[in-house]
Amino acid sequence: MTAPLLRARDLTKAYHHKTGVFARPTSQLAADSISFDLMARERIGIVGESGSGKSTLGRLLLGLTSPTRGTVCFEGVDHDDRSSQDWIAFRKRTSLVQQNPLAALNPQMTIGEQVAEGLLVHRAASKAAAQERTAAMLERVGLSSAMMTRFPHQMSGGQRQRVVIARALILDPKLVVFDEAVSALDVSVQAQVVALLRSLWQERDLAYVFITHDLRIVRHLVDRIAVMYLGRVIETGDIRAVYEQPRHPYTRALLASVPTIDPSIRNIEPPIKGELDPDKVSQGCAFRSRCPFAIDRCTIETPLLRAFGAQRAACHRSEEFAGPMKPQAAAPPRKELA
Amino acid sequence: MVGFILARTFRAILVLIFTVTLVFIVLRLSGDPAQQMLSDSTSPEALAAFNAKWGLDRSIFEQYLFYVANALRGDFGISFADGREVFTVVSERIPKTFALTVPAFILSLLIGIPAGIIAAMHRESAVDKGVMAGAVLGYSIPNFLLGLVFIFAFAVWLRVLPSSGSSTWRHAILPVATFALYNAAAVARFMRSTLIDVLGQPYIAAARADGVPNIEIILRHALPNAAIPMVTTLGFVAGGLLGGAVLVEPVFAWPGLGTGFVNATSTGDLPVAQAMVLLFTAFMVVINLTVDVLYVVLNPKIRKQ
Repeated sequence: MTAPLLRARDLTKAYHHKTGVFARPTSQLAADSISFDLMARERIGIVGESGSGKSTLGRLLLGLTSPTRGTVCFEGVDHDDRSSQDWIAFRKRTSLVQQNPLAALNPQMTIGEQVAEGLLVHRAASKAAAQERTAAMLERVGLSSAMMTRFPHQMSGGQRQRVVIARALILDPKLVVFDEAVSALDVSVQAQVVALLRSLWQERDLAYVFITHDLRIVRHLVDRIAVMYLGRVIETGDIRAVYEQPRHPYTRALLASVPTIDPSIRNIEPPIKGELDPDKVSQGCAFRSRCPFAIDRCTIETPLLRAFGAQRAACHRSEEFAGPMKPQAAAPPRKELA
Repeated sequence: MVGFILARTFRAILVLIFTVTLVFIVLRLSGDPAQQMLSDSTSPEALAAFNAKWGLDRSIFEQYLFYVANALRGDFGISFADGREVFTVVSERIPKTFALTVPAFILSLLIGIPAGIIAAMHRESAVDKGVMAGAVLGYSIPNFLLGLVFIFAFAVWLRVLPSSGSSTWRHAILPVATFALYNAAAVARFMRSTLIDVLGQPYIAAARADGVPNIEIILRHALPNAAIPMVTTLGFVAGGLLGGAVLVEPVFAWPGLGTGFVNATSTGDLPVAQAMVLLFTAFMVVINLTVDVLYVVLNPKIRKQ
C-alpha cells in the first residue's frame, strides 16, 4: 500500500480567551483529536456548521496555524520537523482557496501580478515564462488573458473566484485546501465553478480538502466526507455511503435540512434545535443537548468513532439508523453538473 | 480624477470663506479690543478715538465687508499692538514654525512607522509590548509638559542645550524632539493597528499559503494596503503639529506662529489673531486636499475609474 499524501493524527487546536481582566481564561477546542489520511488525487469534504472548526482544520493542515497537540505529515515529512527550506517546498506543493474571493485578492495588485506571484517567488519560471503561464492558466479557468492588467474590484464575483483558483493551481500543487470556496457565489456561478473544479481535478495530479457547509455542493466534488461538530469528526466515510445511510443524528439532520424543490419529498427527520454551544462539551456527547435521540448514556460517555462498513460514526445509537434516510438524499449526483 | 480634485478645491474654498466669517464674528464677540489694548484708566475720549481709528465703531457687518475686501487684496490690516502690517508680522513667523514642524513631522515618521511595523510583525511579543508601552507613554504625556520635562532635564539639569530662543539650530532640538516624540507615538500606534488589520486579511493568508516570504508579504502586500488609512492619519498628525505649535512654542519661547497666536489673542490684537486663524485653516485645508489626492493616487479602486 502506498503512503498517504497527507496524514493527520490526533490534530487538536485549543483557543484560549479571557472574558475579563479577572476572569479565568477559558479554552475552546476548535479541532479535537482529528485523524485522517489523504491519498494522492483523493478528495475529501469537511462539512459542518459555522463554529464547528472546519476552517481551523484547513489552516492546521497547511501549517498556517500550529496545533496544540497532534501532527500533520505531508509526503512523509512532519510539519514539526520542517526546516524553513522544507516549508518553502511545502508551500510550493500546496495551496489555499478561501471563501470570499474579493477579500482573498490583494486590492492593490493586478490579477496578472497575483496569479504569477507563486511562479516568481519559487523561481519556477522566468518573468516572460511566468507571463505566458499566467495567461494560459487564466484561459484554462475560463478567463481572458486580457484580464491580467485588471484589478480585483473590476471583476465579478465568479471571475474573482476563477482568479483565486488560477492562483492556487499555477504551481501545479499536489494538495489544495478549498475553504468554503464556492459559498460566497451565486447559485448559477457556483455550478460553473463546481464544474470547473471537477474538470481541473480530472486533468491534474491533485488531491484536495473541500471545506464547506453546503451539502448539496460537496457531493459533486469529493470521494469521502467528514462531518464535524464542535471540533470533532462525528461521522466520516465514503460519500455515497454517508449520504445513503447517515449513521449519526447530526448528519441526518444536516442532510434533511438540504432544501428540495420536489414537493413529494417530505422531510421526515426530527429537526435539531438551538445553536452550537461550546460550553457544554466537558463530558458526554457534545451534540446531546440538541439531539432528538439523546439517552442517559450520552451524558456520561463520549461516543467514539465506530466502523460501519465504508463509514464510521461517533454515536451510541448508530445501529438504530439502519435504513436509508430519504429518497433524495440517496439519489446519485445530478448528471448536468458532471 | 481632475474633476475630483476640482470638486475638492471648491470645497476647500468654501471652508476658508466659512472660517473667515466665523472667526471674524467670534473674535468680535469675545471682548472689546479697545479695553484689552488700553489701560483701565483710559479716558472715554481716548477709547472712542481708538475705536474710530480702527473702524471698530462701525457695524460688525460693515467691518466684515471691509475686512474681506481688503483681505482679498492681500491686506490683512495693521497690528493693534505695534502698528506694523499684519501680513509682515505673520509671514515672518511662518518659517520659524516650519523650522520646527517639518523636521518634527519627518522625524515622527522615521521613528513611528518602523516602530509600528516592528510591533505589528512581532505582535504580542516583548518587543511589541515594549514599543506600545513607549508609545502609550509618549502619547499620554501632554506635549507642553513633555517640553517642560525636556527643559528641566537637558537645559536645567544637564545644561547641554538652551531652554529658549531660536538663534541657533541647537535651540530647535528640544522643541523638535517634543513634537516628534509625541507624534511618533501616535504614528507608531496607528501604524501597528493598521498593519495588524491588513495582516489579518485573507489575501495575506493566501500569500502565506503560496509561500511568499514574510519580508515580501510586508513590503509588497501589506504596506501598500496599509498606506491608504495611514495617509489619512498622517494628515491628522500634520494638522496636529500646527495646533501643537500653539502649546509647544510658548514653552520654548520660540518666535513662531504658535507663540504669536497666543500673544495676539491674549492682548486682543484682532487683526493678527484673525490672520493667523485664517492661515492655520489654510494649512489644514491644504493638508486635507493633499490627503484626498494621495488617497486617489494610492487606491486603484478610485484611480482606475
